[in-house]
Amino acid sequence: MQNESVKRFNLEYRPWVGAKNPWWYGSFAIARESLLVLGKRKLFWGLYSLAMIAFLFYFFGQYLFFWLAELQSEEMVKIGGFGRANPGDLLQFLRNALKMDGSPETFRNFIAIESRTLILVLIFAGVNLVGDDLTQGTMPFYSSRPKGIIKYLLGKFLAASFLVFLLIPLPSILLFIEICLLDSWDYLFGSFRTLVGILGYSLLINLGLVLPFLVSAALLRGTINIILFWSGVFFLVPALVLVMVETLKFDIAFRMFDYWYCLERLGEKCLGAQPVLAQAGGDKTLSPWLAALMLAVTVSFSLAILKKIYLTGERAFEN
Amino acid sequence: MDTKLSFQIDQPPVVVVDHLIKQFGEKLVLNDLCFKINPGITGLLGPNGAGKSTFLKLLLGLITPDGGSIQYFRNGTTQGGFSIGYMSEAKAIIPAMSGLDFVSYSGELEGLPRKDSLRRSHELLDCLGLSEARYRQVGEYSAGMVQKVKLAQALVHDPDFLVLDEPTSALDPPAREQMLAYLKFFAKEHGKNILLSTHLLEDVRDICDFVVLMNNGRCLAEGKLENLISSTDAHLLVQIEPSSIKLEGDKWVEVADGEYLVSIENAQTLYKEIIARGAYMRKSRPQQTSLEDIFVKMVSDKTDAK
Repeated sequence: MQNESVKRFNLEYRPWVGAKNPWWYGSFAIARESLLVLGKRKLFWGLYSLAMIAFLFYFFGQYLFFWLAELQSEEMVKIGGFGRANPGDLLQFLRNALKMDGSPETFRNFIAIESRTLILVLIFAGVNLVGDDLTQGTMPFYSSRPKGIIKYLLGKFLAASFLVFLLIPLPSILLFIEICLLDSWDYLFGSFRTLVGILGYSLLINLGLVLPFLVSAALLRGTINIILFWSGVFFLVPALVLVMVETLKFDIAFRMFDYWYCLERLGEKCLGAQPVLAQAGGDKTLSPWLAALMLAVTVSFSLAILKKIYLTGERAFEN
Repeated sequence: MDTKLSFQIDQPPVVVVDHLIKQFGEKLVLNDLCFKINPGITGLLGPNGAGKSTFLKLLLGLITPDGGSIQYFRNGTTQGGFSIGYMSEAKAIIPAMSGLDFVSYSGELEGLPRKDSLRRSHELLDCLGLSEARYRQVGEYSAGMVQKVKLAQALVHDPDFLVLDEPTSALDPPAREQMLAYLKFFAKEHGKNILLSTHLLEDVRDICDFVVLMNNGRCLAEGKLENLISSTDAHLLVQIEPSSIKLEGDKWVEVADGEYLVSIENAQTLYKEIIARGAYMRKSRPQQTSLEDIFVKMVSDKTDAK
């Protein structure tokens, strides 16, 4: 039986002849397979649906405002016991209050909402894309190949970046296009800076979140550890900083330790949106330079750790 | 002093390990390691802590040496294109993937175009007897099937050199035999050069052409397996009468009542002692030296010397 199987092997084994792809090509395969693994998880689709609810709210909200504006007449309408008002003014008031007017603030608010879900998606992705490889002992499969670790990290980065693309720039650009179609193409040229801002803000979120998430997943490994760490970064630390700045009257510069706030400040700068004022701090807001410094430190630190992981081969990824 | 046992081989080597040094903190894991890996199947033997795993990591380029070098030869030159297929001792599988996807994915990671990789994966899995199970998740495979799929992923890009870390561990005897038959077949029929790192001396004895014996980060012996076996001291098993006479001495070992194991060079001394004690030699026959004997002897000699 043994000889038979070997004989059969003899007939069917063929040496491979052909040109190999460049080494980085493997990263695309890693990204593709990672996304396929994520796509098989129901929780991923649950989180993605959550993000889409916000998108649909904005998408149909904007559509509703434009549609109502088309229907309005010149007549004044009665608003309960508060007298009469022009429906056009009323709609404009609502649009401004909800910031569904295609202004930079619209996208700032929309991205802020989407990013909350993105964090949950990235925690989930970190656990599934990197954490599982570590806990299931898959790392030697990747690390034993030429440029294995860098290929692996690049692949996972691409996969996580694709998730960011799905959740932040893609829906934002769809909203932008919707406004162009509903309003006029003048909006495109008039708000071109907003469009560039959306892309810039998305890039910042990508660098600012994906790299640290990748590092945390590599170093912390377990699901619970990753969740605890990021809960600390995005909930506990911001709460402490808020108490320090607003109740204990520490300098506003302390808000740079609120990483999420730093990203939002930079996003506002990219979009050219008005800053959200600190509640008790009056009109004081964190300097974008300090926010940029925090982002630069985080990204550099993440890259340094990733480089160390790469240089020391599989030490950090070893089982 | 390095007292390495080595034998001249006429073929150009595949890998040359030249004065390799690796240190982790204070611990010197590889200490001036030198040997050659020749075409064919080479067994890498050594007790736990000998430095085999560190050497494999260096061989695969996962870590960098603190001194020395490893040179890879393809068609007698060091010029490019040398590829390695690695089968890890660790499980190193993706449980959620099907066998086919896993092997194909491995090919893509090695640079094969997706279509070629998929085609080769079908062929390899079929050849290794996994055609029925190719669409099942790897996580559901038995230990034998996992080893086969790991062999397939190491072969999918048609490497020049296969590095196999304990390929037969956790396999039942028929599966082990089949795995060894495949390896032998690859080496003989397709000219694959294989480095087999194992604790199982039987595996080395069954299929290896060459052997490298490591201990304490050094190479104790390298060369053809038969040369190594014939080079070690031959022994004689001597039976004396009456068996009640006890021969004292440190140059022989009493293995049973009236039976002594002695090396050829000390046989004369034993004979004199037999005559001196008024006994006579009933039987004397050469004792076959096994790979196990050599392994234990060399490792214990070096440990004692240390």
